[in-house]
Amino acid sequence: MRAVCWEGKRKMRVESVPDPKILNARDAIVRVTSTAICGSDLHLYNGFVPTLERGDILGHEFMGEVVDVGRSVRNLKVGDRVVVPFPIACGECAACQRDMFSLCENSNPNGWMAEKLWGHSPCGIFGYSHLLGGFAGGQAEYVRVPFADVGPLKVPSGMDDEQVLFLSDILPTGYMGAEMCDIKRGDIVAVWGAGPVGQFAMLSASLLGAERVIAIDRFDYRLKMAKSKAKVWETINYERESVLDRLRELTGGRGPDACIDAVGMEAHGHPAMYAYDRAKQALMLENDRPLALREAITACRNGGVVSVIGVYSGFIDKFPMGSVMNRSLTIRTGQCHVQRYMRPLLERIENGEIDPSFVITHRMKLDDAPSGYDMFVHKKDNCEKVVLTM
Amino acid sequence: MPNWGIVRFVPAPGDRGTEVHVELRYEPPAGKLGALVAKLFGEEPALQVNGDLRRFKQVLETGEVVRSDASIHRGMHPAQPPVGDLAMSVDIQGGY
Repeated sequence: MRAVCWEGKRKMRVESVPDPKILNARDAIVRVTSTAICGSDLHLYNGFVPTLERGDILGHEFMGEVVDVGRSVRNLKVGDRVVVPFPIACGECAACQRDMFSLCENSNPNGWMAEKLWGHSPCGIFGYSHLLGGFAGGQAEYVRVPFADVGPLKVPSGMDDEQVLFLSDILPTGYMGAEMCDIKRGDIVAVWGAGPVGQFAMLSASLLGAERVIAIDRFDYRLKMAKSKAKVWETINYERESVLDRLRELTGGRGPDACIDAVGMEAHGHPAMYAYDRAKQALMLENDRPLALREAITACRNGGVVSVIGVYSGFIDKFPMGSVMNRSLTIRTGQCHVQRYMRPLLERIENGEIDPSFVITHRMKLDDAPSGYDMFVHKKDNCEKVVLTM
Repeated sequence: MPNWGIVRFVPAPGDRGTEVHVELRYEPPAGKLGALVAKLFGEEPALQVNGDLRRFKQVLETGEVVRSDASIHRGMHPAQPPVGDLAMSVDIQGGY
């Protein structure tokens, strides 16, 4: 089969590789019909996530048709159309029983690696480094899905791929980012990053009752999308104005009640701070550039919530702990527990509350994935979201 | 290698199931140096016991030892589906 493989920093290639096979009794093999490039794939693409190997198949947002099932899979049959959540979860361990699927204790065969870096291991993830399992990803013609009796969601007939594909990751991730803000009536929520996850976080904040949502980014086309499609009240382009000053103005001096970091470890920002973090990152003195996170913490009102859904890999520098402690901030974060949100969000799509397809700007063939990555990383042609079909 | 030890099954607090504690004593062939060499090759008993406990928990909770495309090979390997009948032999291995 053909698959999108990482060949080194900023180098992807579509290669011929063996077809996947059932390796465990609870596996299924899915013939992929649609897959997407995630903003977090760019962290892999740029070489910022440790333990990636040359030749790894990437991709954790995908859906398709079941073509084979292991002997213990009873809920799926050949021919079913499914969307697959990116966290691989067994459904039986203590974490899964508490609906914390991205903390599954049994799905990362390389748990010992994650324990060395992070103390304990989270779940395995498709196509997301060896630290998180070494599972082949879904940017391929076929993919093996472990614990297929737990994760995959059957797609109701009559819904097309573009309506439901993002249930695999970015819609639930954005939604969870807003849910963690514990939004109350009258709340103002600010979202750093107007990429696809940020757009869904903004939209979800409104759905969950925020009175005003503010979007922060450096690309006008993204801010424009936020305003026209994600129910955003006001936008801030941080290259043109001071985010902290503007947020103070917009909130009567209090600061937003909740701040969502939908940027993560490769943030841009004030040139001097950016240069500082970029240099430390290049020298491997810190893994991540937390410019958006620092700003979100500083901006948040006293006693507010900072919700972190942008991806971080390791250690950060100059973390404003004094601001967090003295102002009673709450930090909430996590890889999305996608399985928890798929059904309720599918209902919201079915009844027309959400049409997630608005983020798609580019539709390409799997064979064109390398240029899709290039376009996405350089924000060429106003790229917001790339969807690949076979 | 001469070894002896104790395995204890203890109820976890808060009704969280059962904790398994393994205490293993062993005499490495070349004393401390031998233990160090074993560790370098990932074959030090503490590492092996940790891995065994993890897989034991997987079998009890999920009925199988989860495999990934890369982890079924020895050493680091691209996360791609395995070639040929390797998958079959692993399936049999995975059944314990």
